Amino acid sequence: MSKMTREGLRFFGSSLLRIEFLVLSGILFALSVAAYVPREGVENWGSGAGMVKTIFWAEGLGFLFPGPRYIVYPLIAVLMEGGLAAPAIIAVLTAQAIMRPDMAVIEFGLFGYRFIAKRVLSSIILATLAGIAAALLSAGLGVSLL
Amino acid sequence: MSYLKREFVIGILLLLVSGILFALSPEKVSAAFRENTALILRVALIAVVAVAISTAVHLWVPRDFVQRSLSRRSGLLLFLAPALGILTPGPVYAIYPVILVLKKKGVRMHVLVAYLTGQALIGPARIPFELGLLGGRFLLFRVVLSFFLGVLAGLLYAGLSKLLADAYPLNEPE
Repeated sequence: MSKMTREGLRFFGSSLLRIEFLVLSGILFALSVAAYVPREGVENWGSGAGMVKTIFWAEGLGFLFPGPRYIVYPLIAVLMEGGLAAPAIIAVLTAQAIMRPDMAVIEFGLFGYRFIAKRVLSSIILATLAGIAAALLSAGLGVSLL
Repeated sequence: MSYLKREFVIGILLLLVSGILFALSPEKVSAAFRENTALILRVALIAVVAVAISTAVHLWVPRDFVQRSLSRRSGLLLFLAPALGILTPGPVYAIYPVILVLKKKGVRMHVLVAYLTGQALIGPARIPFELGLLGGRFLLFRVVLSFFLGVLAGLLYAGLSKLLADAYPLNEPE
């Protein structure tokens, strides 16, 4: 077995353990929370005049959702089953990816308060724009994203 | 705390909260699990594909590729940075050391913010999740959006830096 194959297998094995642990704990968490949320609650989240409000709510959820990227997908899958619209999904994914509590703590420690202040402000603007772009595309131009 | 430990703590916390929710209403939560068995399996399988893609990128993309590319002097760096970020695998925690090195080498902060944004928004390991759960059109939109949001993140950072300048000039130890 070559050195590269050995390294690949070692990397694959350790990453798989790590990511499956995160993904499965994420989906157990998402399903446990979803069991308490009435289905119509999520379905009413994402259409018509309420879309901008929905984008802000989704963005807030994303910013507050801690942890690595793999954890957010089980939540998205469960919310989608509940009927969450594409712009809200884009807002959750964007917000959770670009700024969340664990990232804020690390960035504050590494780069200082000025950096994190600018990053937080620009993240709010970017996540809102992402949700609005998806809403314009799906509602305005009739392109279905899902 | 290393990012591995942090991930482990987060996973344990999520399991703990799930356990509490299950204890509060075992019928409700077990019904949700039963109804979504197919979804659980699908997400677990997608994770295997995501890890396979990460492994391929880990083996075949040289580790100093990003450092070499962003250390060049070019006006196009702001556009190159998010594209490189999108192609960079790994958790965002692993990117901060790269950013610190590039900062010390004199790469401008707004370019680094564009790179960080592109990397955080989408990466090779996210593709199977988005394709498998949300579909091809959604993924395509996210990739294009990630590029533009990366550029915009850099521009916003540069603009905001005129109001609130960075604490330390480039190339000076903090």
